[in-house]
Amino acid sequence: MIALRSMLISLFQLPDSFHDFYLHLTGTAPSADILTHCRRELIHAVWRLLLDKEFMEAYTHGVVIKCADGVTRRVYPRILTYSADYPEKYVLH
Amino acid sequence: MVERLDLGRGRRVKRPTWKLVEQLPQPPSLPRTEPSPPASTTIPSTSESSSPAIVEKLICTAKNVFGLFREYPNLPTHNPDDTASPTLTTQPSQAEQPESSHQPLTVSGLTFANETIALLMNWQSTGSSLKSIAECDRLIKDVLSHPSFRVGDLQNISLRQENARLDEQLHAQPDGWRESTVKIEVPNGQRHGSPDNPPIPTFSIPGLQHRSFVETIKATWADENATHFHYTPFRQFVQQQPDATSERIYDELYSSDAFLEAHKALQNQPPEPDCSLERVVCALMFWSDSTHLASFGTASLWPVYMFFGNQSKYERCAPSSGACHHVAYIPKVCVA
Repeated sequence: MIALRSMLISLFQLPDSFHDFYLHLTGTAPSADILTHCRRELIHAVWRLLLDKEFMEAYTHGVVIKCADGVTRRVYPRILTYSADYPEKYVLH
Repeated sequence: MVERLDLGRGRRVKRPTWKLVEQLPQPPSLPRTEPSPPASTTIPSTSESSSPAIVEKLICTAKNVFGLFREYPNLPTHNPDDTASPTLTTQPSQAEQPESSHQPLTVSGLTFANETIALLMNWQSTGSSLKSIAECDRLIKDVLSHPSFRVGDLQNISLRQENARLDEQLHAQPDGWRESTVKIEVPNGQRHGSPDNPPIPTFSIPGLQHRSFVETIKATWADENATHFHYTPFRQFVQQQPDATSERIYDELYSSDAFLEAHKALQNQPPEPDCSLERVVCALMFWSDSTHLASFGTASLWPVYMFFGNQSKYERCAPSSGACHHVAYIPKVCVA
């Protein structure tokens, strides 16, 4: 668990200014738990932004594309796999 | 009569390798007309409660020489394996090799039909060796023979300035990448929620580079490299002996149960109003991993890649296939 946490810290860094921001906010330096939580918040916020309204519209109603074989189809994007290493998966769940 | 001996290096009769002698595994061909009756079965849909019982008709292809056959949920409209050959999928298209030498040729002494051709041939054969025949053809057809082309307009041209102007215009156009700021809520040990309490403090992280997923999908699917995309999933089996039981083959994403379930769920959902287009699943495969850019240093990136599961893995995993689409770069600044 300790090894995992250290990996998380080395992989998903928040900007330098986060420490100053937290120190100014609470008067103490952020603990490891707070950092882990914020990194998790960061990746979820990023995915919330990536899966935008345009994508969700396409997910529900499809997009009409003239495919490479010349046939026009209504294409519905579906996420079938997501590959990540373990530290990254840890923050995704 | 003395048999004449060939001097010099011996000649070896080249024999085809076993890969060529053995037949390459051909994918099962699709039924062109009506589905073949012997193996097709009719099973009721899983949702038995719905009043109009949706009956699925599985379509089986004929077995090929290796006993491979496929089972489609519906008649596919496109069979990419008809045109995909192993050489096509593994070899990227090579640019035409230049045929000119580095040795300069002079116009004098060589005969051409007229002086214009001689000048052009001289230009192609000298200087940089990257002027292929196809490129020279393009220059003649698209530029020199164009009705708007006038030599007089080129009098005071500075290619450096024109390139700079082109760069400016290209930068002004959106290339699909956007930069965004992500906000996260930071716990500060206080209670929030009621109107009396202060709002939850937020922290902004700038510099997320990302691209529209939908635009990437549209561009990729319309591209001619997407000719080998599979739109209809299938289950693949092998039956090596006529009396043996058939075994399921798991190889591609488009022959997986997950794709089949997504396809069936899509066909069962109500269609868009006034739309009779075929509905297909675009199987997205995401991958992200933090990567270090330097051996000594903390420079790193956290990219998010997107692949398409409709593409064969042999094509998708070739580094030169260009099948990987990077869609986002997550900001990451290392703390010293």
